[in-house]
Amino acid sequence: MKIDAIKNYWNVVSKALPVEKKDHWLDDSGEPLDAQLFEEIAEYLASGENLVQYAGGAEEEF
Amino acid sequence: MGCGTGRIVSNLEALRPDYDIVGIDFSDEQILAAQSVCFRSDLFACDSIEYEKKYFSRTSGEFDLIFVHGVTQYFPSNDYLFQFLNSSYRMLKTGGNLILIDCSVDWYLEEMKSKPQVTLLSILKSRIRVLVPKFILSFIRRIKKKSVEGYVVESFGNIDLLVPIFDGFWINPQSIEDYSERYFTSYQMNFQPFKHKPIRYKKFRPIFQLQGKI
Repeated sequence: MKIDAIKNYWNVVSKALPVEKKDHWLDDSGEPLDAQLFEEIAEYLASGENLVQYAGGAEEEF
Repeated sequence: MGCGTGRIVSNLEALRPDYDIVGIDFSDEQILAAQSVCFRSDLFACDSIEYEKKYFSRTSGEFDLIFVHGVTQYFPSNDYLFQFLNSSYRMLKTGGNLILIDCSVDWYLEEMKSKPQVTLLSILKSRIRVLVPKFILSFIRRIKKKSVEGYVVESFGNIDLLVPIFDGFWINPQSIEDYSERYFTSYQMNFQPFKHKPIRYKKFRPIFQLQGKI
């Protein structure tokens, strides 16, 4: 598989989808993820502070 | 990298007007959409290796941060992954970070296990730390909270990777079929990793943070 095939795949996908689904950030029911998630990611990138570091083998409860 | 329609970039623009932001994506179509919501970022329809060759203005070290989320699982091979990591490494400033957050299909993890990660290790050496941004926990809860089973740690060489376990993630086969025949045909023809249905993303890919140049 070549990278061009993947690019082609994404272009075909993107053209077929409405704008809110073009990037395919969808939830389990196929709906676009809500805007707040992207705000949170941007906040994380802007702050650079809210990283949680795990030692090898550490686990996190959800 | 893999900025898609600019949903993160546009938020980052608003939050940090002092940042110079570059967004790249494989898809021309998505970059066009991103251009409608991002107003001061530089956006390019290309992959990161092409970006480095064509547009990267310095011989090395321009970026403080390279953020990659939902991208590498679409790479065609490990060789390409290594090219990408090397390229990212060249473009980072000393002390810059590469944050790589991706889910993975089984074939990809198996591939990674079966081949020595020589190039990866030569880049990362022992300076890797496994980091999970808090938003990832939020992300996990929203996307598939019922199927999150916990974390496992995979070891590749001297790198321990924290891998949250998923059962189905990212691509919803039913929704793909609903979108269009053209899309589905292309996807079957061109996209080897997705041929095997049902699509089962069982693991969330590790998060690498490369801190500082070696």
